[in-house]
Amino acid sequence: MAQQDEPGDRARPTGNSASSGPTDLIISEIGVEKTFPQGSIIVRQGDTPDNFYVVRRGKVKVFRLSEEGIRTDLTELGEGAYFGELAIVTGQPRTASVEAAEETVLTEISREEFDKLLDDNPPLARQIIKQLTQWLVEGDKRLETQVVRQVKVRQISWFDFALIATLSIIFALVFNLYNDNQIPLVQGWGVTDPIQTISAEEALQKYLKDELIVIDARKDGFYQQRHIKDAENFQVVFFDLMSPMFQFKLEHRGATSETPLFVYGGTLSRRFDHDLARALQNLGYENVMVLGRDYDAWEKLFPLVERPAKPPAPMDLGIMGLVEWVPVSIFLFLLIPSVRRSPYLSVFCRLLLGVIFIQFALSKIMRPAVFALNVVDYQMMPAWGVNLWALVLPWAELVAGLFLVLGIRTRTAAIFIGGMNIIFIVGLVNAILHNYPINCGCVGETGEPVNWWKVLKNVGMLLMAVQIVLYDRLFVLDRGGFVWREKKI
Amino acid sequence: MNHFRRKLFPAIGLATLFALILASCGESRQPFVGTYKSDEIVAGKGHIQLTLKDTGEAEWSWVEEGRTAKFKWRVQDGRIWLYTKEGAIVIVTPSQDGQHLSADMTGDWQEGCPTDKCISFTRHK
Repeated sequence: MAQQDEPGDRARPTGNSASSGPTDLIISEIGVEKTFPQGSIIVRQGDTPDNFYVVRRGKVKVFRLSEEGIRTDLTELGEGAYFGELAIVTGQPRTASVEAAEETVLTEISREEFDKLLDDNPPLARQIIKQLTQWLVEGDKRLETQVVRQVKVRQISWFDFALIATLSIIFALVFNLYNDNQIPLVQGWGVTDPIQTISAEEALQKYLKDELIVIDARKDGFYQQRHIKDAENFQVVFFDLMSPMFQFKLEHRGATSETPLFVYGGTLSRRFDHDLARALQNLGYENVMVLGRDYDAWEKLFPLVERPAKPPAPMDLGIMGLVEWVPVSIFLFLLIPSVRRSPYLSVFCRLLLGVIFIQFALSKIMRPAVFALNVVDYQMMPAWGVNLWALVLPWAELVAGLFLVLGIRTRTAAIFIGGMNIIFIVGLVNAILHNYPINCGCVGETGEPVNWWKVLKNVGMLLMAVQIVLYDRLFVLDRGGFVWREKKI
Repeated sequence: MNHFRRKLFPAIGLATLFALILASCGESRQPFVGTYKSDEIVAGKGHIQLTLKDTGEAEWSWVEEGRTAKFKWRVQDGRIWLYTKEGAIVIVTPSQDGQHLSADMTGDWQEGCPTDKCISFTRHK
């Protein structure tokens, strides 16, 4: 490229070499002057090179078009600059297109004239060599920038995990503070009223002597499946609504405020038996007892009434019920090697997983108490963790889902979601193997039986998350800016 | 063009989120706002009065006992969902244009209301 001191007369090669000293070239005797209107293409990428150009008036834009049609503007050249020398020197097709940015007057110099010009002007030849070298260096730098960006896009750092976790925890705590359906961070935290405990053997002795009334505190489904013979079922979750009925039943059994009441039905979280025992104490019953650490010993010692488990009836979950099936299709895609590695499949997986997890999150966020009971139902979470899990997990689903949809820290978000899927799969398999009559608590709040189909859907989602971690690189907003296309390095 | 595409993708993401939030908002409560009274005396303790307010608040009162529990409610697929403070869900099936309600006290979703776990209400106001 060159700049002309006085257009039409002499050209001074500059490009990036303005400091290399003036090298005046007489070009007025060669070439043909041509005028190009704004927007016209002067040379086209890929064409066979025949001419070299010097800009005499006006301005041109140099740009490249990728195979996908993506245009990258490289530079703008003004009066005195020159272009087209690279293709003429190398004999290769044009590496870029040039378009007139405004009405532009150029001197068009043919290949033969250009060769003669080089022969007659060693300084120009040196200048062109310098320029080509400069381009090589710049090309290396650009390549390095792209590699760094690609590496950053694919990089996973602890900061990303901390970011998603911290956002989820902060949102969960702040939202719970202002939520009408607020729940305590730890159920029963700070409640000091002691609950009497009794060993299973002692409770059995009293039961056999008819010295106590046995009360099952669990949900209806669990009670129907298995309970101690002659036990009353006071669902603690309905205590506020039904306490007069519970009192009536106790009165009907001849209970007074001093009658020993044995409440069972605790899980690892001890949600049901402890809560019901406290509620009954508050009603004035003074002799309420629960099992100690052996909260499930009643199943082995007491005479039981057992029925086959009755899973909850399935409810129509609408469009999300259908969308939840789509991850199963991932098994088909995985059979096709070229498709399973496709970054476009990653984008599809990201959108789908993102939408599913955002939808998963919304109902749980609004009513954490309902989800906390779902967590209790799975019988894998200790008391201190139930409400914290019920508060933070939906926000983690929402944040990770949003990150996937918006293209932020996608690989970390996918790892988060994959981790959640693994936890869900373990919980579901455990519930199926133990025959728990519970709701999944996945898409909706109720009407979702736990079964192997749910496991399959979660496995599909897990595979989607793995695919994203391995191959996602399109449409991602990451540390190097927005990467809109696949960069082949 | 690139500039447009850069904005398009996040815009689609936010629109998706907005649509999902809207979709989870539920149906109008208005047809069921009112006070209902249980058809029968429950457990020998008197009638239950159920008050559904248009704010989404609700009250479940044992009139003769003088006890009231507050909770939230919403409408989904034409059925009323009551949410207790403890996290239980009572699904109520309206009939006769909302004049009659059947509350399923099993705590699970079911097609109908099982007779042995069902409390029936009739609109009072």
